[in-house]
Amino acid sequence: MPAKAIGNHTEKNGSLMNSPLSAIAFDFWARNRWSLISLGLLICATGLLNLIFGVEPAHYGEDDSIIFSMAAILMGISIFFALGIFACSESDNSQEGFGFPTRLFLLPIATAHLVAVFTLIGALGISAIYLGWVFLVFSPMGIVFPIGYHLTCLTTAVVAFQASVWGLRIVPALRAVVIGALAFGFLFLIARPFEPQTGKHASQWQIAAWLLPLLLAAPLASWVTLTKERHGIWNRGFAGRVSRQRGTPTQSRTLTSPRYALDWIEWRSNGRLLIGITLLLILPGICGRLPILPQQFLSVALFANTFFLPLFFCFAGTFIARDCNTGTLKTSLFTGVMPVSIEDVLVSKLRILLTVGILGVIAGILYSWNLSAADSDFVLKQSGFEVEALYIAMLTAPALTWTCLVGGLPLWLSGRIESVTTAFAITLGSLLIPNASLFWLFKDKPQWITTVLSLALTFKLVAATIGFKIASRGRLLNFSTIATIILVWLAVTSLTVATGIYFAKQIPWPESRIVLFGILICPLARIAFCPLALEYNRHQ
Amino acid sequence: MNKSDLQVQPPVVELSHLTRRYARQEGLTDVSLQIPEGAVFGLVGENGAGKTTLIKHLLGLLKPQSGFVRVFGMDPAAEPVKVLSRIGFYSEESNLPGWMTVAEHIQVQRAFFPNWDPDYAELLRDEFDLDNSAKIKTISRGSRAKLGLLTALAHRPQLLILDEPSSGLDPLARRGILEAIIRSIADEGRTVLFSSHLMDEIERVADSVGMLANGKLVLCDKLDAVKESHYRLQVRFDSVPETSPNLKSSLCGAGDRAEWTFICSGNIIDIRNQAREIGATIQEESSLSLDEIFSARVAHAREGNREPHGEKWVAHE
Amino acid sequence: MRFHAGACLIHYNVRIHISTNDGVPIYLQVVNQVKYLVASGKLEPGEELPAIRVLASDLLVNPNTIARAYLELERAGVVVKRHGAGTYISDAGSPLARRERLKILHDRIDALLAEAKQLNVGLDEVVKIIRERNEHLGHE
Repeated sequence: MPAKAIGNHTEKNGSLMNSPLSAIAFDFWARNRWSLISLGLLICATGLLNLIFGVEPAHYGEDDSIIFSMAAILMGISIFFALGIFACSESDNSQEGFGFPTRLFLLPIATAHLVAVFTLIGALGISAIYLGWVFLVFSPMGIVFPIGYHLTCLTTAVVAFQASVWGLRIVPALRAVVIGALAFGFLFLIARPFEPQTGKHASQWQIAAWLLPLLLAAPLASWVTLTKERHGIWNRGFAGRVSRQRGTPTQSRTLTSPRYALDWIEWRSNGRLLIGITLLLILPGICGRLPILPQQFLSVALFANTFFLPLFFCFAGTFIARDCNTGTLKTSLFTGVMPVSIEDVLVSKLRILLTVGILGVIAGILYSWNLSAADSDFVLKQSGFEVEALYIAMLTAPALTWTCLVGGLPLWLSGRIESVTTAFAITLGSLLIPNASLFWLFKDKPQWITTVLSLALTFKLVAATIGFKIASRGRLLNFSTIATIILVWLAVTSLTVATGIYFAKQIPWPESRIVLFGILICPLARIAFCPLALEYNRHQ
Repeated sequence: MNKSDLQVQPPVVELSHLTRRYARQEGLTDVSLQIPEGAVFGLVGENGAGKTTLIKHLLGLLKPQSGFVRVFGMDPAAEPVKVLSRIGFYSEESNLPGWMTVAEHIQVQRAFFPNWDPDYAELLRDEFDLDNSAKIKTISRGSRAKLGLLTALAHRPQLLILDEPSSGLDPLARRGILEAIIRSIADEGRTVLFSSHLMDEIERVADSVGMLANGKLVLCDKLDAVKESHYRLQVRFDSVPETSPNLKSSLCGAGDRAEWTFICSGNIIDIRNQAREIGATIQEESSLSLDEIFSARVAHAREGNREPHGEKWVAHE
Repeated sequence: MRFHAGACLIHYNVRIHISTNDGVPIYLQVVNQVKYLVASGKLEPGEELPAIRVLASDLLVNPNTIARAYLELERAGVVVKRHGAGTYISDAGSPLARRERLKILHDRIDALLAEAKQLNVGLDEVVKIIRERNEHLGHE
């Protein structure tokens, strides 16, 4: 009977939506659906590309191990990205930085249930993404992963990450250290099965067993801290003292000109990036080959840098482009009414970009240096990289840094996409997928590479000319600023070309190609369009 | 505005046939407006009527789709530095960066404005009772509004633009803000544009008023002229009229059978004559508060397309 | 900040109160109330009125409005401006007083009559009620 069927239907539907916990799950999905969908698409696209361009598992040999490396890097990045999503955190104006979405405290749901739902979402979500990679991408390649061990590591990582993000909100410095330690610890654990095991080592199952207490304790810790936060008990005791001590008086400085003031704002709001690069990339890079540290540290450093380098610089680019007040890419009222020219804003953004870029190049060189270590057992080397070929990495690592850093800068500065996270995901996707496809497309046709590179170079120079011309005609940039930008570009480019030529003897590439590649590394055309984008953002 | 005023100087603010459309919401439709130097202009409108959109055009944050905007005789989108350095702007919406301390915020703002008066800023800070070392995100909403107002006033701008400066504040904080605004008005030659949905504030502070409804400027005149040209008329018909009676200069009317009330705008003599023509005897004439004038104007602007909510007034075309 | 109760203290027991609910323009409210205060003797000849800026910020109204009210008062002869010394209630305040007193009463009576008419109370009855109330209050 139709009436009954309808009745049943609504009842079922009603009960689904009436459950508060499913409503929270839906809320999570609604907030993160684009990120989650793009992650799913990334897995499917990689699997598809692999099916089309990859080799039959039977013939899987040394030549194609680069595909494995690419896929492994993508997988690592996507898992880090997923960790960010499944931290289930939001920033809100009344609180310090990111943390548990306090708006949910207004709902009549027990804190324990909230923690349970988000823990479950985190654990299931990260497992789904991991399994997606394993079964859609790596199984067809014939590569076997220790699934049980990895799943234990990943779920523990998620809940531990959640617990520290939520619970340590009021002590951000400590939180950064704890999260950093967790990141390196779990990277090490996850990378373990790929290490050659020498001597007496704990088995995977022993490690998994050690992780179990953490897996159980972390949600408990979240529950305890969130209950305190929910009922404002943090204001008493140690945490209260900590939060009251913050906001110590600062000496008032004199910022004498708008440019100083803009620079000050940029440094204050992006300073964390510089600390992040140093801690995450440069420090491990330096430590990688220190003789006093154990051998395994080199692998950890390499593993970390392989994942963090593109990830971090994509993020850095979008982070720098954002508005200092609201944290989105759209110009806020506060910034919009500052009586400063587009040129001043752009120059201060470019300065911090250049600083981050230089640190990035240092990190990239350290990375390549670690890669070229003769005794490195890193996955790239296992998959057939020759030591000579690693010199290419000397060029590609800084190149990757610059490309990722500038990413879609004109688009981000135009404010068309508001959210930094979305912009970050788009940058990552739009840089990695075309680059990977180009690599697969042209790996058998090296004679075409030079043509493609020279076409790209022509395009770049023409676009840069047009961009600067429009900007100077619209009185957005002075001639001297344009000249400075071009001079900096020339200096960086000549440095990269010189490095390329120096290594030319060790690399099996023709010299002309290296020169072209070197000129293409440092972005110019995208910079040229930035003033137009900023102008668009400000006067829509 | 009053065009008969002899103006040697160009108006501080000039909008001409400004139109802005958004994909999903009403923007501005053909808004023309002039604000002479020294005026205190109150912009009235419901939430979403286009007040903020209009102000964003003055600040160069929106480029006009058609028509033009001049502030100090310049296009604010083309000359942002020159225009913005002479404007003091505060909006309830412009939340200040929470990570800065009060002192840092004042320092940063000072760097942008060459005319910044540090003594005046310090005086205001003292008067507003703002703690230099407090982070902006930790201070109260009222204090944040005061800090915003401080940075808008401390460079003694020629044009002060305030977008809903006191909405969302408690009465005490609102009083403090209004007091500061009123004191700053007295400064020589300052032009003020002040938007609010609170008629009480507008009536106290403004000397000219513009009313926005659904992106249209439905009324724009000196406040006194507005108040002196709007009347409430209570009339009685000798015989019950068959259809709803209508006065030519009425904005809206309500009533039943023989007793009707009209809200009219125009010369009182003309209105009396019109009432006599339709056979009505005037029972009572009274002046209106700005609030009532605004409701009548909004109802009139809707032209009976939609049922006006709240008031039972029926719009006349 | 220092706050007053929303009305200005000209004198310790003299207050001006602004209302934006009825249609009367603010400058007229100030003019009427000063006239009323003078007529009722609460403001005495020679007494000084607050400066325009002070009154404006205390009443929370535009200083131009106060300036206009003072100008009207000056034109009506209620106050005099002394150069550089402020605004004072004029000595000629008292001859005006009776006319002003009557004018204030006129307004009140108009309102009373209009209300009586709406309530269908006749004029004779109104007068009778006024007498009764007067006796009740114990006047004369």
